[in-house]
Amino acid sequence: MERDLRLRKEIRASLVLAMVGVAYLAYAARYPLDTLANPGPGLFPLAVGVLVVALAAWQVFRATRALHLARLEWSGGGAEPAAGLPSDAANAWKPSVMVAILVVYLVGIRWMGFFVSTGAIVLACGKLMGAPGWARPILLALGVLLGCYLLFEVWLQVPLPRGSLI
Amino acid sequence: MADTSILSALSISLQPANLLACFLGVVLGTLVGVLPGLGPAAAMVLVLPLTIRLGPTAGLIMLAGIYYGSMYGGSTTSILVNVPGEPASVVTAIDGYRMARRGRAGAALAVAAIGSFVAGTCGVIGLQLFAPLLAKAALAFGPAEYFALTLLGVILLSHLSGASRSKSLFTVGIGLMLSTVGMDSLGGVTRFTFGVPSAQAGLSFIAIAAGLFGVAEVLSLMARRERPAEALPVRFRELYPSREELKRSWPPILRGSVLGFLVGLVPGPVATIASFVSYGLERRISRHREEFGEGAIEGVAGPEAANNAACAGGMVPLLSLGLAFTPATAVLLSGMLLLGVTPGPFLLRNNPDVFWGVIGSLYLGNAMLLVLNLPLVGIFARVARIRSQYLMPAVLVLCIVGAYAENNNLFDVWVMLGAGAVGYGMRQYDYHPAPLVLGLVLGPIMERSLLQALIISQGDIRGLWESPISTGLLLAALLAAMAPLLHALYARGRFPLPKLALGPQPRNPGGGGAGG
Repeated sequence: MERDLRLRKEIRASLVLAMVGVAYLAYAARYPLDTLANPGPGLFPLAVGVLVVALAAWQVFRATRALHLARLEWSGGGAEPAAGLPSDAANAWKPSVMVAILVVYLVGIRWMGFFVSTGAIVLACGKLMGAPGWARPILLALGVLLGCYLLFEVWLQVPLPRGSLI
Repeated sequence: MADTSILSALSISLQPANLLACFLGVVLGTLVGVLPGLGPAAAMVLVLPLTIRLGPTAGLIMLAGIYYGSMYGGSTTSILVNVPGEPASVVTAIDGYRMARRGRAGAALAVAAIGSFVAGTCGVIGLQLFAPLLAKAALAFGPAEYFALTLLGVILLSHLSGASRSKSLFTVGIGLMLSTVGMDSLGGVTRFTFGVPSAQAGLSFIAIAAGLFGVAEVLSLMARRERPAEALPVRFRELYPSREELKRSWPPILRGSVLGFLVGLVPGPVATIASFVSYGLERRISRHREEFGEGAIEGVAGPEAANNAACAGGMVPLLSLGLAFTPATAVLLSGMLLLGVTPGPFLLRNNPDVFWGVIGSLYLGNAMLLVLNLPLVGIFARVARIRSQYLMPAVLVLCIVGAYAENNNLFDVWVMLGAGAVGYGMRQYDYHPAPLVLGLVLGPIMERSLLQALIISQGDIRGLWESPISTGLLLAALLAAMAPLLHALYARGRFPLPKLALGPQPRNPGGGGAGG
């Protein structure tokens, strides 16, 4: 069952990637190819797009064939691998939540500014990674912010974004 | 001439600012090597904004220091904690940790450090000799030759990147796709920008690399259950290998140095491959074959020497041809361009101070690492125990600020976030991000040389393989592309070739797969 799931996951991923390749190829068609003696900006993207789509199609074919063969093997009395959840399944939701928090961070940084938003990000990341209590994550956030201020604003003179509200 | 070059190299790298940059680089590199997860490429990306302030020579010295410092650090945790800080130190853990369990941790660490120093120094000598020669030969390279070389590199990468070949090649393709975003290299036409003005200059390499290596690593660790590492104790007075151990270590160190340097010249994760190949070689020819997997000193000495020599070998195509075939050298290439230095055949003529400064710093850095690593080994082992819940938030912020600081533009941080999410997804589906980064770096060179070659030959496609160099390179690329098919045909017995007589296989379950 686990192998079946993995292969189906592989087929889905390859299909998505094939679609990305097709979309790229379709967009690349907007750029002129011109002639080989005077190649246009569309030539290289066309070659790359064809390569990517061909490879994605090959991936889909391979995974589909592997799934078919595996099912034949199981139906023929072969031992089906035992079902089991990955050992880290309990934490699988965390990366998606972190990405969502980072999207909110990037939208909100214009209003909240770098220091307030980034302090919140350090806290959120630390807690999602399982940091116990609040004292250490808060201290870590303050330390990281101080380090960023000294390194980037004072030494490198990079103006970090200031918020319109804070 | 060579003496003058060494003196000139050392005089540049002994300038206080360069010396400090070298010291900071090797310390940072050692820490990165010690900490599992964060690799040298990610660490180099994170410090790229800092190097702008340091200037080209000191900046590149610092980046190079991180690169080879990480190879030293990786062995410490492999031996003491059985957790390789770097993929290149995975094989060191097999025998190094067994030695540590037997109370020979000090000897293993000392041999690893001495081997790394000797191999690193041999590698730099090789780099110093080969890079100018290759640079001179590269003057005969025109666009067709560069196109053939990058094509060969891309195909070889697909063989050497660990995951399936089609997946690696596909990932290189995605990198090439991303490299076409922005202004076209010859005509100045903007492509794939979707009306975003910030994308006209192309997607930031720092943002993509920080996302793929840094943010994706943070997300991956978040999804994993962390097990705190327990380090075996080691005392300074124990850092003396016995006479027997030293005697057994020298030949593997010397073999690893030569092997590592040669492996370093080909595209791919050279340090990892070199260490695995060296382990396989030592296991095959050793008189103490039965000790492999149980704590053979040769299993530490050879791979540690090989991975350091491979780092120097990997810098030969970068400095002489301006081509990067490993993620870390891709960051170095990007750093050079960011600092206004163009690597390639003209580097030695146009920026001799940078070239010799980097070479000199490699000599000095190796010596610094030997002096630093032995006495401070206990501290570095304790660093490995820092929990990721305190380390990774800081890495995430460094990724964000690093991506932002290049152009003071939040668009790059969005790109970094996208690359991070994609990189995390790629890891879930067994796609390695390294070929993508290399595709991104090689893409513009490949496109420019292809188009220029076609213009020069007035559209005659035969111009791509007219010269003997490009013919040779394209034939090699064709052979590399066909290799899996030929192998499959041989395996099916369609071509009944006489089988090679192989010696008896060593019985050693501990070293499975080390033969590379």
